[in-house]
Amino acid sequence: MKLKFLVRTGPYSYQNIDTVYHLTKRALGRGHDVFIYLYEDGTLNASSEIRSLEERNIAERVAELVSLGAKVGLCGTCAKFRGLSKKEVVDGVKYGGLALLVREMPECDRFISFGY
Amino acid sequence: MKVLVIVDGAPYGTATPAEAFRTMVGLGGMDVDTSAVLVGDGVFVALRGQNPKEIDMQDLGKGYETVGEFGVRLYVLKESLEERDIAEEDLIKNDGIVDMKGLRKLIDSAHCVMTFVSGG
Repeated sequence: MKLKFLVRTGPYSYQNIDTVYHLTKRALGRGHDVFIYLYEDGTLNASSEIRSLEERNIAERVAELVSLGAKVGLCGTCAKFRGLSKKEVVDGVKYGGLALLVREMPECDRFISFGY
Repeated sequence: MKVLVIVDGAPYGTATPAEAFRTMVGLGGMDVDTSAVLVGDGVFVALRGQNPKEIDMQDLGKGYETVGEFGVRLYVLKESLEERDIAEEDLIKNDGIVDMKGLRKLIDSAHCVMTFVSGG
């Protein structure tokens, strides 16, 4: 099954990215394809500048999902609005436009929005 | 492929309806078959004659009125209008008022549903 997750919220203030992290790991483990699109504040989840001290590091989790085979993209315009440059984004995360999402949409079996 | 964008958030106070607007015109501009429905406080987005200059914002109603130019169909939820005592004639140009049954049909017929609900 091809799963697409849209994440609109940022790290730590909301649990959405954590939910997507666990869902994605399980789904990949069962042989499903996963595409995650980080949108609006969701782009901040892929900031390699995240320093979370003793807490879980969301950016490292995003990198882990990429290493496990998840495709992850983010909205470059949203990122720019939030001061997140391309070079600050976790390796393997595609920095693109809405077209990234549109390209993935027709193939999905399940599309889930994670917002407020 | 059909995409439905559900907007549930007042026009000002959060960026949610503005982000939904950018999304739907972006999708429409890429020839994606896109519909949008305003629900809850999202129906205030469709009120004609908004004047948000005092808060340095742009009139979202004027923006939403143009979504048709990008091929996007704009609907407003009847029950939400009634709950807020908003008359149809006070709305910007739209493609129709739908009730909950109509909303369900829109959701059923969509390949992807994108929800834009305002956060607290």
